[in-house]
Amino acid sequence: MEEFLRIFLNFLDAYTWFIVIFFVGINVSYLILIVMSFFHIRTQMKDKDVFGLHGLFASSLYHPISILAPAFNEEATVVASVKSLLQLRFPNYEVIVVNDGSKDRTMDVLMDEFKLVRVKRYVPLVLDHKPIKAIYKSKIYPELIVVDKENGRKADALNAGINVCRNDLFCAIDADCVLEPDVLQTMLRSFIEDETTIAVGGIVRVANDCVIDGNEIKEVRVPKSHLARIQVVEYLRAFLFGRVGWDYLNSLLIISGAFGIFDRNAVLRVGGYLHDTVGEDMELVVRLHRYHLDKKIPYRVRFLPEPVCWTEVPEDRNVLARQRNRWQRGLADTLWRHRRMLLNPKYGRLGMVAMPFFFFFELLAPVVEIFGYVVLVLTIILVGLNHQFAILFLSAAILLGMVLSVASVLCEEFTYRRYPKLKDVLILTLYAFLENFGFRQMHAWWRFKGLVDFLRGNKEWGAMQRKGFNTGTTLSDPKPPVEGAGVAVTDVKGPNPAENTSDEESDNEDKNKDPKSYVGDKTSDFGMYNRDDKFKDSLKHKPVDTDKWKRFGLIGVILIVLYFSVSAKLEWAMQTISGGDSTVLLGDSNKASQDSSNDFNTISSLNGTTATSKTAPETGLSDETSTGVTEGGTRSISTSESSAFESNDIIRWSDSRYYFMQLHTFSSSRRAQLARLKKEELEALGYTVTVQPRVGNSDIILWMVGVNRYRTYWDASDKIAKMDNKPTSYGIQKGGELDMKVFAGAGDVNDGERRYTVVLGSHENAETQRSRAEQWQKIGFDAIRLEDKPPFRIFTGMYHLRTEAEYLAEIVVNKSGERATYIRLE
Amino acid sequence: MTIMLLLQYEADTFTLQFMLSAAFLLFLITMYLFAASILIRNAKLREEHHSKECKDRFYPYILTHMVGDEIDMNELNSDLRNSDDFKPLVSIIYEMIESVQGDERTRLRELLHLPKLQTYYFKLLQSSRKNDITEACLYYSHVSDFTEKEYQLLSKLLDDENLLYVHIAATAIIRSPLAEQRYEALRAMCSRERVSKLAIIDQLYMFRNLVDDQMDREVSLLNQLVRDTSLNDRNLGMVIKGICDIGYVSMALDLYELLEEQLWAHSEYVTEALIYSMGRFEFSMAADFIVDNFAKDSRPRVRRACASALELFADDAYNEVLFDLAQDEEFSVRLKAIYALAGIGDTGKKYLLELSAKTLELRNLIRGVLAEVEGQVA
Repeated sequence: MEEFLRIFLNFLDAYTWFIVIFFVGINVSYLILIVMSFFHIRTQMKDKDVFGLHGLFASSLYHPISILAPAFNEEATVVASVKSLLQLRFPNYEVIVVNDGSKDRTMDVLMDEFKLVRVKRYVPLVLDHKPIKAIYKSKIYPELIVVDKENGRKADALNAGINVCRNDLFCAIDADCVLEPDVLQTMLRSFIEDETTIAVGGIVRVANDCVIDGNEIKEVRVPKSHLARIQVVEYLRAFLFGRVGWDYLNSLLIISGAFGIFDRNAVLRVGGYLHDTVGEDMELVVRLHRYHLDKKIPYRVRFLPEPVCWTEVPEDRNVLARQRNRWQRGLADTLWRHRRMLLNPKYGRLGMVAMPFFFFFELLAPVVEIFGYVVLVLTIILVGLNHQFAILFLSAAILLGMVLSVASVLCEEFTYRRYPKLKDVLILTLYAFLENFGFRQMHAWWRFKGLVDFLRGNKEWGAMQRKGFNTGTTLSDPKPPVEGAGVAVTDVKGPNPAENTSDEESDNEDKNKDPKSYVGDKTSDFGMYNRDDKFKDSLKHKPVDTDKWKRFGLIGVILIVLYFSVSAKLEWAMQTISGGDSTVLLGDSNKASQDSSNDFNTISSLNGTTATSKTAPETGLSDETSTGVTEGGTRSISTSESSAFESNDIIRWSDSRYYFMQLHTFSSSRRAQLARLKKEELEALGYTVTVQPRVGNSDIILWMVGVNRYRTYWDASDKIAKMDNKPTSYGIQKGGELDMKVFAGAGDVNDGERRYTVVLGSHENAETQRSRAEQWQKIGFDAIRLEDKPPFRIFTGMYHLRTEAEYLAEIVVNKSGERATYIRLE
Repeated sequence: MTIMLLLQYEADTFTLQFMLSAAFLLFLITMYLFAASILIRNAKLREEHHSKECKDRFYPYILTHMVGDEIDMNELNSDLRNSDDFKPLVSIIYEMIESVQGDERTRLRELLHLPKLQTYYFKLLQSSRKNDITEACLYYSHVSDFTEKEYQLLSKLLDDENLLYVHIAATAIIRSPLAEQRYEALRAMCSRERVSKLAIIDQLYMFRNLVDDQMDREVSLLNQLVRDTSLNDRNLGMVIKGICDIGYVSMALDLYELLEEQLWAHSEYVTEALIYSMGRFEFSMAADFIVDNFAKDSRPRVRRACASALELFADDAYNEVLFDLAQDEEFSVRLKAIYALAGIGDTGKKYLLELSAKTLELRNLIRGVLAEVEGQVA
């Protein structure tokens, strides 16, 4: 148990700092994103009406956009969604619904509602996908095309849609989304502003409980479900701040699969959507970035906060869990595939800022959080919790989260103000607070599980049940959930010619054999590119099953490196901050020598005023005797034989003649126990060890663990170099401040000055007081004074500085668990 | 919780003090943001209410003036108090102006010339703030008629480093009734790199004046533009395609001459566009020149344009050339040539039959194209 405790405390020391750095890092990043986003949105708001595009729309030369809506078992929502797509205020666009082998009546309802007729249409098979069964056009809406194909998942359906479409831009949306009427025109602005724009994402909002009339959102309402309300806050935060901020940095890594416009030729160049991933939307965007950066082709990936796509979010916890699990797996998969970009200066801000952000703060955040909860419980059980710190840290964490969420609500008010009632703002603000309790932990768990599933090679999509949107004014008119929706496809092997039956299918089968050659389309006057198969192949994944141990290994190595680097560096940093003037790490010996000699005089003179114990430097043994004084109503008792530490612990670090080998520093006054454990550990290895408390420059007590003394700096460094079992941190120390005994029994050096002392307890009678005082002596308090009259208090040494008494009182409380306070003596 | 701690807690270490301060600060920020949300909501509501009030007040004036009845302009002008009043008024006019034509549009524009509005937006145009300039340009793009001073300020923006400014200013100037001013705007756009094809098309369409017959002047200026080698060739390629699309038929000969002169031979974009324009204008006297000079060009884009033009000429005299192009190394050229042969009719189909025997890929391609072409015909 003790061994476990030792390991745990060692770990806890580093982990605490890791958490603090992680916490600060993630929140500072978010705050920076907030500030950037706020100004960026304001600018975008002003620019939105600049281009009327009347000339463009008058032109028959250019038909810019095809809307691709893959549908799989969307019987409940597909008609409403398609109708909303057909009513967009945008001239000359086509809507391509790809029925991805739905098992329900999706195709039938489309046929009936839109009077579809089968047509022949040449489809250049640039991108691989499952065979197309037939292509239909609507008799009522000439701009509507329906592609009926075999099931192959969303990416496959989108690839089919890209092959079928003949415009230079395509808009990929989920078939269950509702777009605002002006959305395409607004999105097109980005492509007009900059020729190099290859993809634009737009904001996705939560449509649950909103009123939809005529396939348009008529009334925006905050959902009734708690989960949906929390998701409203989440979406606002993610889109209004996260993505706008990344857009400002031109490092946007995600364009939501629910709504995004892409340059078809750019997507074709990189090989379209990947089949074998659940995060195909993010993966495509990252691949686009990577391709253009690799080839040094100027490009932009944009995000516009204004265009709105409304989507239904899960209200069921299990469905939401599956969704978040999938998102996390998608994120992990994308980052894994493009790991070469991580911290690679070749990829500029993307490699040095965005990818690390997503890796550390998005991918690993649930690991850190879940691990944090485990550590918290262990800490409470094993070593006890510093309640004040814990509560304050928790409050700060919650408040930071709230600042982000409330800021996004504010931004919403400042810009688009979609939620009309004041009550809505209050509800959203309340849920920004409430999400920290329960949801946040659940969410972290789902994401953590997603990461684990990714490592296990799980690529299932997971079912998403839709209840359908509210239409008309009825709020509670959900359509029944679709049974068997979202059957997962775990393996996509490309076209299967044996399954084809019709002529068209045979055509597609044959065409699939020539995937490398392609033409942009028949009508477009712009594109003519070749698909870069080499580039796409370079990203192909090995089967996850065979690769998972490598992933485990990689992540393990990352975590171990992170742990050791953080623990070592932080301890070193703390030493430097609080006493680094006399402590150096090996490898910088010249500076160390110089520094230590410079600092010596100052430190030793400081110690000269406080140290009363006499220590034989050569042996490390103390010949200290009692320095207690009788004073006023107190009497002193002497001690020389009992100590908290072994007698050879007592070494005057301030002895200017010697260098000391300092093996560890525990940078908190609460780490005395840890220091003692370390001492025992080192003693077991045969070292003579001393433990020394030291007050750092920033008022933090350092517990230094060191061995032996040397005449020269070089002797000490040689010794360290020869050590078989090197500790995790070590340096050479010359000069210090107080050891424990001096600290606890600062005798009469303060005569005539303002004096403080520490009250170690009050007792009912003198006998109890006496026996308790002996116990105090045994644990290292040399100068104990007893109060002769009730309340029979026990005092320890006297200090002319309040802070010294305060430190000691704190140490006493932490070490013994007893009540101890400092008081000023008359 | 934090407040309770504030009252009870005696900070004794730096860390705790720091955490306490941070938590307190964050609490204040949260409260501030929340209060700001409410205040901004109220301010916005007031603004919207005022805007609605203004709209209700101005609608009768606008409608009366639009249908040609007399209104007291001085009264309307004096009714406008400040910029809060200007914005609702102009927003109604902007909205209406695009949905009406002829005299009604002219009369709506007259309202934009109210002295207070002119003064206000001229001030905005002189401002150094981007938002002000954007707003002013939006105003001038609807006014369509500016003074020399206003034009000077707008044209200064055409030289700006920021492409967005150039585009915004060009969008305003391109509405000018003077062809020369519109030409300057178009030229400024064409001179810049990274200008989107969409923007060029948009500007070119706005360049054409539908109100007055300025065709000759426009043709002359466009000729000047396409011969300006200092301009970006990608943009000029788009301009040439736009010229065909708009229908400046009188330029066909000029463009052919330009192709013959080989002034832009180095640019695949302009060459492609010129070949394409010959096809679009069905300028068949250019066919031989195109076949002789470009059917075997090393640039796939040019060969594809060649196939495309021959498709538009639809002359079976060039079946042999298309037959060769249908076996081009570049897939897009092959496909275009197959479409061209399929479109020519029976003589073309004979060549397709011969081609389909050559490779499996060609067979599949031809089957697919024929299925579509015949399907469309049916």
